[in-house]
Amino acid sequence: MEQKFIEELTETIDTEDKLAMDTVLADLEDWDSLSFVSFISMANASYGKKVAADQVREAVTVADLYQLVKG
Amino acid sequence: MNQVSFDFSDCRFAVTGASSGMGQCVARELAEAGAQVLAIARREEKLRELQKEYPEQITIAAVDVCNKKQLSEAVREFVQDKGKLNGGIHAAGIVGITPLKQYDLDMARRIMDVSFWAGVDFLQVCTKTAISEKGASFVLFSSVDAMAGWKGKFAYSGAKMAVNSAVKSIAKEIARRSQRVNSILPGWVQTNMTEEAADITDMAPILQRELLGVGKPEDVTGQVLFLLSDRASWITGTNVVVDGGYLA
Repeated sequence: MEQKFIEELTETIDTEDKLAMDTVLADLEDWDSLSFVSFISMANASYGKKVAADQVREAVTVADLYQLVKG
Repeated sequence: MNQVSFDFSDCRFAVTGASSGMGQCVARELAEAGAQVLAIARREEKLRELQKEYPEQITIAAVDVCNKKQLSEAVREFVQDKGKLNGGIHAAGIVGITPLKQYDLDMARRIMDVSFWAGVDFLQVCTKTAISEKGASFVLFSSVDAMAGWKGKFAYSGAKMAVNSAVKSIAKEIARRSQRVNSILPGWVQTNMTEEAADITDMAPILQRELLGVGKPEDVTGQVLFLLSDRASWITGTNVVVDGGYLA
């Protein structure tokens, strides 16, 4: 489940960086405003979750994003 | 021998609509210029004929561009085999005459699907970091019909104008990796597609507007190759008219 999430996130933000759960989003060059919106769309399309922009803004690591969609 | 020639050796491009008309001409000229080309179209036998001309350089994929999954798989396979793309051309398109009074919804939607939505999907697939190089250049086929309407062609004009607008927005999204996208607006060019349209169109006023006569595919493809090349590396998000004076 976590692995699948990481693969999907990598594809969504279109990065060549190797993502892990403890990757800090601010360190990723490709984590920009478009990726931000794309993540909200991914959460809705793949996980059926309505994620608010504020929740994404508060996320520090990949694991924080995962918390928003899991369960 | 043309005065301008292109060198695309060690470059890779995907071309949709490659089985006929301007798409086929682009694929052929890219291969001629040394590129590896993924030729995409529905008609396999037409693609095979093209491949016979440049067996070392042309890879074919018989898929419907509206099938995003198949399109994506074909591109990924090509990239795995040959390397990341330096660009792509969406030349697939259909023309249909359907007047407002009783328009054919299926035809109108199909026109939009092939020109616009498949073009957007093509860009989504091809601009990914795993699929294309930094600085890759993309060209989507629009038409002078986006700028000047004809009776019965609102769906075609609308789809082509949608392409013109979309490249402006998408140019801003993909510029972070110095990638570029432009649309090209050919005038009346002699192809199978326009021949079909000519059957049910009054050609006289169209021909009158073509100051330099009816075009041939190669009258347009020079500009396409230029936009793909490094000499066009500062050109993005624009709509380039190549129309023999049609819009003059």
